Formats: sequence, structure tokens, C-alpha cells
Amino acid sequence: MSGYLGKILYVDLSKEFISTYTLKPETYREWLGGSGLSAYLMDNLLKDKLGFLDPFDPENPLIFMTGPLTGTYLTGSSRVSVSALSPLTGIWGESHAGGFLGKEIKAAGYDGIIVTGRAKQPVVLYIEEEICLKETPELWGLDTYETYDRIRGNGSYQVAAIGPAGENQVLYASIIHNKGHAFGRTGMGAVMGSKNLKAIAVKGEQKTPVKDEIAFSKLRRDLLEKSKNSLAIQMLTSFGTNGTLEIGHLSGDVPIKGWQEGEWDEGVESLGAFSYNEKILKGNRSCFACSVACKRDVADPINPNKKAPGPEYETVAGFGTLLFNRDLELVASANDLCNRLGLDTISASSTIATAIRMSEDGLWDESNELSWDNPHVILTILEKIAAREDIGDILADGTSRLVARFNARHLDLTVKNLEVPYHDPRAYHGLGLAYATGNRGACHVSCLTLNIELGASIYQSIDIPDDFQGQTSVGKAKLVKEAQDLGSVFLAASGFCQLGSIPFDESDLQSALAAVTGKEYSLEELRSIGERIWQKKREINETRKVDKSADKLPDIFFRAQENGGAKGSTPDIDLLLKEYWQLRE
Amino acid sequence: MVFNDASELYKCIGGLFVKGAQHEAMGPKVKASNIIIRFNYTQPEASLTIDTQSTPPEGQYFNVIHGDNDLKADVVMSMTSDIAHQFWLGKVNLTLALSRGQMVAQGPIQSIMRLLPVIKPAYELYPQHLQEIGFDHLLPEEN
Repeated sequence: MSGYLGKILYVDLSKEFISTYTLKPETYREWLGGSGLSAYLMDNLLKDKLGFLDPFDPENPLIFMTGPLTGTYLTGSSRVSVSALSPLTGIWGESHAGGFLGKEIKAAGYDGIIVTGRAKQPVVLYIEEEICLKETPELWGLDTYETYDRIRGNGSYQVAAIGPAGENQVLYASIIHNKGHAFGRTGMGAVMGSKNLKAIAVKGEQKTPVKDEIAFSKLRRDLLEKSKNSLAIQMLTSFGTNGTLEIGHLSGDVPIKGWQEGEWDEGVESLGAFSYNEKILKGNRSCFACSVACKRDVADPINPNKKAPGPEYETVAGFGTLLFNRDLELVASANDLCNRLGLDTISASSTIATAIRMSEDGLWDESNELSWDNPHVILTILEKIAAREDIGDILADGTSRLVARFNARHLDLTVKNLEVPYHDPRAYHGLGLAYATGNRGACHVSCLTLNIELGASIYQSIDIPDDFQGQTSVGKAKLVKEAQDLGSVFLAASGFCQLGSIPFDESDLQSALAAVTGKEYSLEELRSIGERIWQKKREINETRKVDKSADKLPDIFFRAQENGGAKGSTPDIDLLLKEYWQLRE
Repeated sequence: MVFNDASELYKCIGGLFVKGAQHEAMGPKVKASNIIIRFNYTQPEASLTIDTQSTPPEGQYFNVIHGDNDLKADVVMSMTSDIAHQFWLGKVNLTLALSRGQMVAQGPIQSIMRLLPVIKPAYELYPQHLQEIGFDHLLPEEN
């Protein structure tokens, strides 16, 4: 079965039981891989418990899953997903990262890893020729970078670890792979912490089987050429994802001062692509076999003579423009701290922004130390969040619980309890609908809407009219539905990366799947798989009593900006949802 | 076609560039890029070059040259004149236009990105400029 290894590692930490799980070839065909296959597995593993299981219950399965393209040498195809019931949202949770973990899981002989149960003591799961659980109380309390350094040693383990935030079950704790590859969203690190699982270390030597090596080699060259000729990819290579800050600011896409302002020229200039390259950049890095190399290295805030992973766009926007902070070095320090502590930078910065607004409005006296004029306090606050100390204990539960606690729901910045990522639905109305209907909550990476509305990607099967505008709601429901279905295959299941695959379209995905798996997938079948995946995640949420009545946007996005690229624009969410659900039902 | 001939394009878009060259915020930013940018237009055929390297006329931070010349451009942007007009009105999604080939950009991405900070002030200048030169019939109704 080319493209797959045909085995999923199953580890029950409570029983210290390790086995393998096999699936029928038709199951792989129906769900493809990644979080699509994970949704199918979760449904089958939990069955009747799915509707009420607490995300911190040991039975909540934490599922790492690759796609058929992961671990092949196609550029932009290193992705692996982590899924579980989310402690932050209470519903389906998933997060994705690149790096080398997915490739290594396959090299160790598995398509994925299911971890269930709870270890009696903190453990590390070692996956190599032999699988073993090692009690490692000495690692508990260490940050993710120290943990990585201790585990990796001089060997070649690829590591996914939690930091103090995961151990303390901060609801938006992340899992950090090596240094700087974050499974950031939906609190997967908190689930891992609840299992007393400090880290997973993987090492293997198997090659992901490719069915047609000749077709694969040709396709690999073709995709590299496409990538090389793409201006968007050239931008990512030169400036990383933060290269989009200035262009996003032009269209009103960037969050400024708690989403309250439409433009901030001085801030964007201080935080933008050229400032980044001139002030803090020390080099760039790539994920496995990727030609884009969009990852940045900056001076290590702790030891400036060394390099450390630098902030990406979402983090620059979160700790920069959103918090009205134009100090790029401070943003880099906040990024470093979040990586080390194991905190999602989007949820952390959004929760802090909400606390500042509550302080401004006199709704929470204890948050007075937070203000738009005092950005340096961010670092102390992040430490407190990870440790659940003082106000950090309240902030550790995320934005929606914060506003509920102080009766300030009008300041909520979440959809289904997941903090909105840093692209403004007033600039791109389709993205607003994608946020509202997102199965993990507000999400910009599980469907193709953002790439399409930004204008970066064009797909043959998704119609974009000649007079296409981001700031209109008319016609966007169809686009979003199609972008979710195709995106569920392209981004969530296949192993392709949202950034690396910007220049690729459906025919490239079809060619890649054919060369790797040896199976032809029609466009109709791909869309059908995508719809199946989307519906399965929706079913899981509905089983947990979260239905389409939760498809909403935060109030702030219905207040038009008075300046900037999205001046006067608000999404017509009633129209968008009405048309969308007519298409879905 | 928005512009009947090249002379109209030079008045409108060329004039915008001259205004940018005189602008206290935009002018120094473009000058600091130290690059030569050529805009090639079709329907009608025309060409505008922004030259930040040679000495500009008094009151301008850079040169704006109409028509063909021998300067070696660092960045070449090609598009129809209609797309150019719509772009400076802020009506064209730059990334989408590039993806669709409605605009073609040639040159190092670092140089192309240098142009981004001047686009926003130019959006504000262009409608004003059209009004000043009596081309307000080219403005969309909401202006």
C-alpha cells in the first residue's frame, strides 16, 4: 500500500500496553490521512463516550497522523496533525505542524500514533525499532527546548514535547516539535500534559513507499519549478510568513490594538518584512524536503550569540500589532518564551488583548498592569500563564472563559471558544464565514479560503469571478464550502502544507497521490473525501451538543473600521450563513 | 479602455508618479529603494520609468520618465492600462492580479516588496490627482 505504512501505533499509558492498529485499504481511501483519518479513528475509538467525555479524561485519544504525501520528497509536504477532544473548545480539536516529525513517524514504520490513558509518572514515549515508555520525572518542569536537548542528545530523534504550560494544563498549551515547530492550536499540549506524557521521541530508517518512482521524480521537479517561479513562494523564502504583514495592512487584514484600529503605518513599518530582516533575522530553515524554507532564525533572546526560531506572521501580529507593540525584539522574546513554555501564541496574545480591553473598560481591576502602553509586561504575564500563577491562572483558561467570568461577552474574540487568528474578516468576508463554520472554531488553515481571498492561490474547480473582491459577502458561501471540502483533503489530510502548496492546484494533488499511492483520484472523489472529513468533524461536534447555532463571529467584526484598507466593511453573516447552509444541507 | 491614448495615461498615471516624487512621505521612501522600476502598459501602449538613481528635477525625490529609454530596470511591472488605473484606485487585489497574470512582475522579490509602503499613500493621491487635472470622469461613482 504505497504512500502508507499500513500500521498505526497504539499506546495505552494507563495499562502500559503497546500494540499496532491496522486499517483496511478502503479506510485509507475514504479518509486519506491526517486529521481526516484521525476524525474517523476518534469516532471509532470513543463510540458512545464521544458525546460526554471530558477532554482531560485519560480515554481522550491524542492522535498524531501523517498523510500519504508526508515523508516523501515532494516540496511542501512535511505536515503531520495532532487531534483530540480539545480542552479549550470542548469539541473536535486539531493542530498541524511541519518539520521532521511526520517523516520520522513514517520512517519508524507507522502512519500515525494513538496515545490514550494516563501514565502514573511523567514518561517519554520512545518509538524506534523497539517501542518503550521511560519514566522521566527529571524532565517534568523543563521547557520544551531543554527537553528537546536532553532527549535528542547526540542521536537523531525527532521530538514532540510539552513545556510547563502543558504540564499545568493551560487550555491553549501547545506541543513543540524540536525547536520552533508548533502544534499550537486547540490545546493539544494540555491533553498531552493530562496524560503525563512529556514527550514523544521518534527515530526510524524506513522510506515512505512510493508507487511510481519515475512519475514521482518528474512531478517533484515540476513542483519545484512551479515553486521557484511563484512570487508568493519567493516572498516566503525571502521574508518568511511575516512578508505578508505590509500587504495585509494594505487590505485591512491585520489586527491592530485589539482589532479596534484599521491602520497603523508606524507599527507595521517597525514590525514588517524589511525591519525583521534588518533587525533580528539570523538565517532561515526549512522543513523536511521543502524548498521554501520559510522558517526564520533570530538571535536567541537568552543567549544572543546563538540562533533561535523566530516569530512567524501570526506571532508578529499577535504580540505586535494586536497588542499595539512595535518592538520587534520584544515580539521575538515573546515568541521564544511561548515556544519554550509551550503556549499557543495566537490564543495567548488574544487573551492578553482581551484582558487589556477589560482593564480599559474597568471590568477587571486585577488586570490593571496590562495596557497598550506597557508591552514589556507581556513576558511576565506569559510566565504566569504557564505557571497558572496570580492572574495567569485566569488567563490560562483562554478568552471565552475570561469574558464569561467577568460578564464581558461583548469582548469575546473566539469562535466556539477558539481565539480568532490574525486575519480580519472585515477584509475578507469569506474568511469570516470560514471562521464561523470552522469545525475546530476560528481557523485560517483548515480550508483554502484565505489563500483564495488573499489572491495567492487559484484552483481550477473553485470559480473566482473577474470582479472578485474580498470585501463582499455575495457569492462567498459557495466559495467557502468548496474551499473547505477541497481544503480538508489538500491541507488536513494529504500532508501538503498551506504555504508550500500555494502554487499547486488540484491537478498537482491528483498527480502526487497517483505517483505516491498508485491510485487515481478523480476531482469528484477528492471533493467527496473532503466533504466526508468535514462532515465527520461536524458530527463529532454535534454529538457534543455544539451545532450550527455556534457558527458565529465575535461582535467586533460587525463594527466597521473608520480607516485602513477595510474601512466601512463588515461581513453580512446572516446572508453568508443562510447561503452556506443551503449548500451544505 | 479607460485611457484613449498614451498621453492620457501619462497625464493620469505619470502625473500620479510625479506627485509621488514630490510627496514628503512617499518620495524619500521610493528614493531610498535605489532601484529603477519600469511599468509597461498595453491598450494603449505606454511605458513609465521611475529612476531613483540619477539626479531628479528640483522639487522631486526621483525621476519619472515617459516612454522608452535605455535604463536597465531592476523591476519591470507589466499590465493593461485599465488594470493600472483600477489598481491605483485601490480596486485591484494585487496578489490575485499577479496570480492571474493580469499583472506580471519581474525582478528580485526584495525590490518588488520595496514598493509596498508607497502603495497606500498613492491610493489617496490618485483620485485627488484625477480631479485636479480634470479627469474626474474616470473616478468611480462613490468618489
